[in-house]
Amino acid sequence: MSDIAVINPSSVSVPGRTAQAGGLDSIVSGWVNSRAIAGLVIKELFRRKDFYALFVLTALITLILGSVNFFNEANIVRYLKEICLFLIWVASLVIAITTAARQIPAERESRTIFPLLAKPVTRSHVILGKFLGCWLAVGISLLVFYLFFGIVSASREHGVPLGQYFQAVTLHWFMLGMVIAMTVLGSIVFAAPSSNNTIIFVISAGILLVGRHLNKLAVQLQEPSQSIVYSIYYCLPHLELFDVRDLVVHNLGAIPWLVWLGAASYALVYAVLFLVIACLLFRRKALN
Amino acid sequence: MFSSWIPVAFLLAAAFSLSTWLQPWFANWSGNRSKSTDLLSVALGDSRRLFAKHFYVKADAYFHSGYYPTIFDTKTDGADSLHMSGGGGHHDDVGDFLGGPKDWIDRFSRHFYPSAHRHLGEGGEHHDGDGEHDAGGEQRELLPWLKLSAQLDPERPETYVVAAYWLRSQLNNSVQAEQFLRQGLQANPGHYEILFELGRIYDENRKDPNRARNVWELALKDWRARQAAGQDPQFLVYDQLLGHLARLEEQQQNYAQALVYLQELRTVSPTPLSIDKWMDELKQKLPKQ
Repeated sequence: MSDIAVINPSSVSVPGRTAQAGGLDSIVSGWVNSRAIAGLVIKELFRRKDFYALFVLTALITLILGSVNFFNEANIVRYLKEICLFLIWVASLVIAITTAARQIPAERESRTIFPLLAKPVTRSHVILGKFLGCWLAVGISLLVFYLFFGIVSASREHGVPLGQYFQAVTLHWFMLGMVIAMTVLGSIVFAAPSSNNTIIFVISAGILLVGRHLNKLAVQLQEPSQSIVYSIYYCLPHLELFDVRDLVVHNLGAIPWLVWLGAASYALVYAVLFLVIACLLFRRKALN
Repeated sequence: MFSSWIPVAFLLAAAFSLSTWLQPWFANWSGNRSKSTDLLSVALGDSRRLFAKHFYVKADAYFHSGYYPTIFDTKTDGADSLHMSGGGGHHDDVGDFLGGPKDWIDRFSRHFYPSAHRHLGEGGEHHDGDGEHDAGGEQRELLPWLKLSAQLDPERPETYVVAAYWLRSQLNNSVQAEQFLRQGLQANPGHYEILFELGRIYDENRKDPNRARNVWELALKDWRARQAAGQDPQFLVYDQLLGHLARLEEQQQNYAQALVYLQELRTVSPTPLSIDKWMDELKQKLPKQ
């Protein structure tokens, strides 16, 4: 965590430069700083045992279930795909939320936040760097998980629908981007990482389970409950949009690419929104 | 030093005495799960029936390729098991439960989950058709959930019937179908639904009309016993039993016995006119005997 020498020292503004060049410089230095902080987060995730433990658990459960014989019928695969994908979703949520929730509190607790901010690094860079680090680290974990899933699936189906799997991974990753941004925001708002973890888990699980059905629930209610539930339905980030597990399990083909792009944009908008709020709150937050 | 061990020894003696007193009571207690040798029963208790129902419904959801109503959707009341077992013809119990999109989020979200009705084994691809798959034998995908459901709740005859139906009719695996039905019979001795399906294996797969007749007659006897006991057995299975027995007797040229079954079938059949026609045909054959 103390390895902050990589942070760009040339980002100090030089007098005499034009305002436009200065703006571009600050963006570039911000990106370099955030990337350096992100690199530290990625290293931290892979130093910890969380990812390895969850991956081994997922692989073990999937392989044990895959070895079960059902009526001597070979090539039964959908139950295995469903269970494996479910485990991947649970594991990725655990990794994303727990990793993102401890970033800022850990820096504050160990007081490494002060040397970090003593460099030409703004608080917004820290937030962006932490987010990027968690998102990229989770993305790498997802690649490993889905590679395993692809191998298991291909061993029984004798084919890999690459387009569909690419969409499944990327949509999953974008969804986790929203969750990580939400968790980073939570780590500014809530006092302890444990409470942040619990609250984000409950919110994420709640959205994944009932988010799609809130409109059906709303029409059965009286005013003003109906308007309140409808407002929640339109405002909350619909994480369930990114859950294409049923399409993958039942081999229903890839979704149109324009829809995929729309979903990715939707995730980015919400992630940016949460990060902007997190930056605004973090600027005013007392660190000691 | 020695005195500090006295309370420990006293507590150990007390624990031992209490356990000798509690053990006989626990062994005779009706809620004692350790009586069961089945790990699932010990771990889950009676809640395993809930899980069994869930996995049975899961198999039905697989049959509809994931297009299945949730508790938030209004589902038309239908007999899922019959649809899944192919015994109820092609009535559509799932139907168009989604209806039209209610808002833009609803419209957009339908790209991300199965939103069009398709049965296992029918082939066809949704969306842009990425990933071709052979639809033949897809029904095998139901089997893990049905097997799991049967393990969790062995006293649920329809699980055995549905699994055996797909095994014998689509997967050409009548040996496994028979074995599974016999497992079902051990848990549900003489159950008419399981016996009916077993009879179909003897009749349609093994071409053994005598064993099929014996099994179906046992099933008929069980159905009548349940009806007499007021257990409200399924009329559809009764109808099918009588129909199959009548056809079998006709094939064996036992026209008089076939007429007896048809006479009974006429009283419960939703299409008595067709039964009358069938009976007329058999009556014409009677004098030739």
